Amino acid sequence: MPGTRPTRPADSPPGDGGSRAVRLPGRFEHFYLEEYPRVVDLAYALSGSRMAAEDIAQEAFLRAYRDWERVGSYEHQAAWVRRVAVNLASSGLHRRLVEARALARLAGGREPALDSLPADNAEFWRAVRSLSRRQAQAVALYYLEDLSIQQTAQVLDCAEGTVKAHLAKARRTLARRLRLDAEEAP
Amino acid sequence: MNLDARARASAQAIRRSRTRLDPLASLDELLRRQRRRRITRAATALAAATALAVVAWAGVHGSERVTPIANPPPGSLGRVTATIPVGTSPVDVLVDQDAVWVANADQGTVSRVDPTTNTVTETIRVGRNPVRLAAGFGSIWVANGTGQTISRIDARTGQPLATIPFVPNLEPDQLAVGAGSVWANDSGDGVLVRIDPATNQPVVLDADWELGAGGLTVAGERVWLSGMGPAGVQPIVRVDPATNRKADTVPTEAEGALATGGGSVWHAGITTQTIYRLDPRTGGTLAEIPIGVVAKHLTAGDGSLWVGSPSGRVTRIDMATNEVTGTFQVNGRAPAVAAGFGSVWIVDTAHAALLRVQPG
Repeated sequence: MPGTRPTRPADSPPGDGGSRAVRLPGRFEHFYLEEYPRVVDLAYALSGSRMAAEDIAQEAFLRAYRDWERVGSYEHQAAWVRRVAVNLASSGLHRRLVEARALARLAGGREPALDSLPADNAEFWRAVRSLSRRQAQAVALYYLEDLSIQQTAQVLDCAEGTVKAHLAKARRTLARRLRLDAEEAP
Repeated sequence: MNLDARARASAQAIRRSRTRLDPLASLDELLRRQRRRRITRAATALAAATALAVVAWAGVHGSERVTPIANPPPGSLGRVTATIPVGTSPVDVLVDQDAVWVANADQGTVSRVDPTTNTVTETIRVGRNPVRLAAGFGSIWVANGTGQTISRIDARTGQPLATIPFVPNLEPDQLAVGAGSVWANDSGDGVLVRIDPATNQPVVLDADWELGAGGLTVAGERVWLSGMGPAGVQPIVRVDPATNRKADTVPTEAEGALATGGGSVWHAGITTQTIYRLDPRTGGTLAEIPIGVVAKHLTAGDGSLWVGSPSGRVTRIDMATNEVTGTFQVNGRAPAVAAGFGSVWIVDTAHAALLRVQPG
């Protein structure tokens, strides 16, 4: 699984933040720099907003940072932060808060770090976002993150059979809406 | 192309889109946010104590009225010909046949302004937190947000005619008139209420959509709703007034306010800083007009679309050419705008005033 980390020993010393003024908890910086771009991708796909994507990813990592004593000891830290990000990207209330922050940044003239997608690809992700929340999350993790069924189930915290059902239904719906052939079942 | 190929190509496009992503800079931003959050928690406690002290002081000494701006900075839109003091928290403005109306959110009132004298001739008490105005059926309709009601005022006499309950626990903040009815919704929830002007009876529509924080308008015999859903920007939902059910949806890149005018529907793209002109029948995009700022309020009038932005800017778009032909800057929050009586009327929230601007 991309980004899966070995378990950190519970007694490993905190703080290897290098030359930063703020000392970061043990291995957090490495984890962040390695995983951040992919979590931004995920947030972009599920939120559809270039501005909000970074905000959602940051919020997910901020939660990991604040609870790093616990999260840093998990075997699947990458799955944890992805789970937080996909839930934030799918939360109506959080979306509104993120949009408010994005508005403030746009008003300040800050440019999004992400480019607009070509029309064809934007249409695909728009169709994904029109699916049910769980179906959309399963599709994004499966195709964008290239996760296996088992890994997708790990992120979504559900059974593998549930992921298969979500993906099968999502593929049928997407194929119909986008007028595509859905012959290759996952 | 099959679904898997399309999906993988679209995934690749997302990965390629992060041309300016800087994880190191983002890490610094994250640490700043963490520090701000700590500071905010401390400041919140202090602010609560200060607010209590201010409330106590105001109770003793009375409140001071905000001084209206004397000479706001001119913009290319035109010059200010009148500054009309209204309530201390004006949030919306509407022009109808005889008057200009302003909703004052904190006072729970609506000011009626006589355009021949530029003075407030009546202040009408409505429900708590009036935030949106609409005109139709000889009446002014007022959405009272936290009051959870719709007020109806006689447009000719200024007399309150009815107070119509909204959906329990929801706050109406958008209004539209058309297809023989008044339509109201809570943009945070997406629920849609239809009011029969003959009986003032509200009907809550059985909404099979999930939209929030968007816009509402009536055009082409359809009620249009836009906004965000759980998974981001959602297609516009069009409701058929004949059945009170969703007729169809229109794909869109935008998520903001909606307005009808000049034979088109206008849609605000918040993150794209673009106004989209849509065909009222098909919903197809006729024009995309970048405005360089975030749009919050849209109003059509006098051959132009008027856009109010959170930065305090008002932008005028000429409907004949789809071009930005003027801007105006106020200091307050997103200004509501209306056009009529040969003028543009702009709510100046920072100075508790209604500005009358003569287009240049």
